[in-house]
Amino acid sequence: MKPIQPTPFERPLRRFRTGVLLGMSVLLLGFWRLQVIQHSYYLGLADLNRVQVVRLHPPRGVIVDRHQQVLADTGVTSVLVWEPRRPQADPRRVFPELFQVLGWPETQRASLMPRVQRLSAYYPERLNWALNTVDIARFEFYRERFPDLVLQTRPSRSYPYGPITAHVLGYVGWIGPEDRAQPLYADYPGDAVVGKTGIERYYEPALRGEFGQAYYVVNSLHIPVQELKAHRRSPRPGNRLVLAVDLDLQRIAYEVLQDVSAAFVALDPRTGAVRAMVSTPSFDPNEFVPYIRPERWRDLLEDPARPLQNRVIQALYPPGSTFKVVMTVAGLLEGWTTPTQTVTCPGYARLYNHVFRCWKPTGHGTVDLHAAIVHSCDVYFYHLGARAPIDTIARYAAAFGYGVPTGIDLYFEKGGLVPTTFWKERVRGEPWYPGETVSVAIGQGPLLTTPLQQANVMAMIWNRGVQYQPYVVQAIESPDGRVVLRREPRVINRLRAPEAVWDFLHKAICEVVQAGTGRAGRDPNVPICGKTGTVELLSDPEKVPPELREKYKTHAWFVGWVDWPDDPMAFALIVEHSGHGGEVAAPRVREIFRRYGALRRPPPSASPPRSRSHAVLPMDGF
Amino acid sequence: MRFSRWMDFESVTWLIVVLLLAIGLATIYSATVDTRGTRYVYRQLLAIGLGLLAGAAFGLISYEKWLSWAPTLYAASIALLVGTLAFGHAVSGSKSWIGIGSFRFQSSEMAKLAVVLMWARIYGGRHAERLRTSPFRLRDLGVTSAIAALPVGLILLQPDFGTALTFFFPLAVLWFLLRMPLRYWLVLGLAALMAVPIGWSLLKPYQKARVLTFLKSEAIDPQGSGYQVLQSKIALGSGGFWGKGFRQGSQAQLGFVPARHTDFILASLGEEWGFIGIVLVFLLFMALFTRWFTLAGRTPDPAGQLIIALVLAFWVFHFGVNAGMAVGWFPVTGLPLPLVSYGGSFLLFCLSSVGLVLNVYWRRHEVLSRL
Repeated sequence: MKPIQPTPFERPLRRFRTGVLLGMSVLLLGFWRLQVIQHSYYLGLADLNRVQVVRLHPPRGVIVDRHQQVLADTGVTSVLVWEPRRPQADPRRVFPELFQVLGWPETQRASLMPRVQRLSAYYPERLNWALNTVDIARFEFYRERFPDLVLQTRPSRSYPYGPITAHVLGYVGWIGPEDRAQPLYADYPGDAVVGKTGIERYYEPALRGEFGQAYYVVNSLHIPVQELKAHRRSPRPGNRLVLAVDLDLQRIAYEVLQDVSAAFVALDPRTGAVRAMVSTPSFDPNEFVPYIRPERWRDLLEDPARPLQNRVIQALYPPGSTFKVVMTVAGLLEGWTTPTQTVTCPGYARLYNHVFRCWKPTGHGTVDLHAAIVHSCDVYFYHLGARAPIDTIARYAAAFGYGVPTGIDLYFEKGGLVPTTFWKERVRGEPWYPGETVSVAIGQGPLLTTPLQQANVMAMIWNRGVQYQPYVVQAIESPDGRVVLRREPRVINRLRAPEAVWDFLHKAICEVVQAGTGRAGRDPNVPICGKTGTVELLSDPEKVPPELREKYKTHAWFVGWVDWPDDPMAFALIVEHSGHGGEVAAPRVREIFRRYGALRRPPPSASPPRSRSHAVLPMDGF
Repeated sequence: MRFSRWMDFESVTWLIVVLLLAIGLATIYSATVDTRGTRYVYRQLLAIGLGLLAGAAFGLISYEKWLSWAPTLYAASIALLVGTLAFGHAVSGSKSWIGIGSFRFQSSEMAKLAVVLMWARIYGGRHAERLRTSPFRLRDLGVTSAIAALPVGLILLQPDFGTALTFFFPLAVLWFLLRMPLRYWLVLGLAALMAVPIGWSLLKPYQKARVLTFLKSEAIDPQGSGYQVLQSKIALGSGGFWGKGFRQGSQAQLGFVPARHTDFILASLGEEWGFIGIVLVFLLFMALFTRWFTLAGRTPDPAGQLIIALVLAFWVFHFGVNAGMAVGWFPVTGLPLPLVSYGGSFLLFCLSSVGLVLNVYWRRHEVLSRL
């Protein structure tokens, strides 16, 4: 047997073998590093990978009126969420199919497609499309065709009295980027529903409750396969708000005023508790839940009647003749006049080389201070104004609460304007002319106020010099019925004056209704007292063409109180562009209180708070 | 002779092959039974059965016969590749499957065997003798490359970048065995560098993404191809040293691991069986490869040695790239792990090549007696 010659490949084969074994050993080190050295790091990632945290939305607190009637309730709604679960999920393919299944009309599809185009193939996004029950049923039926779409059930809001309580309650909506910037909303999920205006916004921390959390084991498609029940934290419902508002009064006032642009507010002069706050025209806050359709929102914003504005706290008007009560207090205390001093009213006054007209062209004849209030004689107050320094008037106006917001528990309240010499020079760059004081004395000129301030001025007169901060929310109760916080009245203004001054004012203001300009507000069954006011928007109506006169028609004021011993109410009503206060506003106030008085219930007894140690909520306004 | 051949059954190879197949079946079962039931396990068993038949054909008919049929086989596989291009089924964007009825076959797997046999036929005979005395020539480079180039070109047309890539490593191994001089390596390396920009422009977007992801980090694109690598690493890393236990791997069970029963089967395996399981698989492959190197050393026939060495090159490349991909060292190429990954065509190739290796070993005495 001849010796076997080695093949030429033996040496390279040995080297190849060495290389393979070396390479595999190095590779094994890679596994060692991953599985042994970095084990705990990847174990953490694995837990994140398979556990999905879901925020559980708490039902929002219920809002009730002072007789426990529900004004804002908690319901349930369904929203569609785009949750791409497959890397190749394409919204531009998924949604046309969805629209097909839901049978939505072509116009609607076309308007929704731009939103669809903006969806990411990777990131979940909430679609603020309201689905009705038919939509939901269809979606559920074809659910398998849409693995990337999820229906989420959410606590929702409903307002059973819609436009009646719209401005005081406000409404809720999806949390916006501007909300998220605030620390209050820092821990809110991006799809939370928050209060946008009114009580809903002001008491957001009390109403929202606490978010809960659930942990789900999910597969790679993020489909939950199992809940880790031991880790579940249930949401805590929001607190219940008991308003000072009386739904009956609120409803009646809305019904009486819904055909005009008006603002009506009634409050308890003893505490500042707001019994009714109506602004017309109104809107239906249910349209905002969970979101308002953009075109509807634009309509509301662009409506010249401004239905979104809460006129009670956000609209500014000159007080008109109602300001005469403040001038009376100032005049008596400063000695500019006395109850017995008389002035002869020929229908005008010539002061500072200028003719100031009385609202009654034929004149009032000779009037004393009492008659000047009862018949609202402008000339009497022109002469008073001619004797008064504007800055002293301003001090008295401020003492009655004019010029600064009352601090009611609602956002966006306006303060109005009380002119001073300083103000005139700073804003207009001119000195104050004495002739302007003459206009201010009858509540015209630059003077501006809100209906809420006006009602509170009347409350202060009723109270003989003590003014409380108006408030809407009487108490906050926990979901299980404990009283968390009870509102205590807070004095914001105090004016010391002899009792005789208050007696004089009470007598004069009540006489306005009995025999003066406010006779149309008189009712045999309701003890109404009040002062009328008419806001001139044109210095000389005769010069304005008739077709514009309607547009610039006077605002009508009627402010005062109803002296029910168990439940007194100070009120203010303004009806825009409607005519004279005594002819338009006074009869409507009478109508409101006549109807309310007929079905009036005894006010709920204010039981002492059971416990106040739970006052831990971060609250504004308390 | 016949009796001693059966005694010399090569039990080491058989044992390792059976163990790896069993590990593969267990892992496939664990990774898929929840979502797909036992379908994949049965299909894999069927593929093993077919593979054993193919292996028997490649093991029992003398490899010298196979070498003599190599040109026919090569032509047939080229025809099959062309046919695939013409009538094939597209799976995730590339036409690499040819179907007869409900049975589908990845035609590139057959081309691998044909190319191995062609190389061995040409360079195991008189060229081997020539190279014993005279150096490697440019012509040799041309011939070896040309044999691979035809199927590689057709596979690139499908386009299946990963499979085409598998031919380059055995080709390099062949050059190494033929003692290609250093200057050729340098020139080829330089040419390859220059070809990179051209090759880049030919890549499909998803392939570019894969390469880019590999070059950068998985943090860039957690939902794309980097996502797959990250999930693989999470599965492996969370498995730890001892693993989470059979069917306890949350990542694989809940479907986070992509291609968890095919390309990323090592991630599924490493999660449930831990580093220990990975070491076992590595040891089995190292033992198998070492054994095959030994078998190659025992045959006096250069052609037989080439067959074993080139089959080894294919296996090593598949193993290395697959394992490297699982730990994030290599880009995602979609190469399965031999014997372990689910997939019929590749299993057919694996078991056929086992048959060829054993064939060479079994017939060493016949060859020896002829020398």
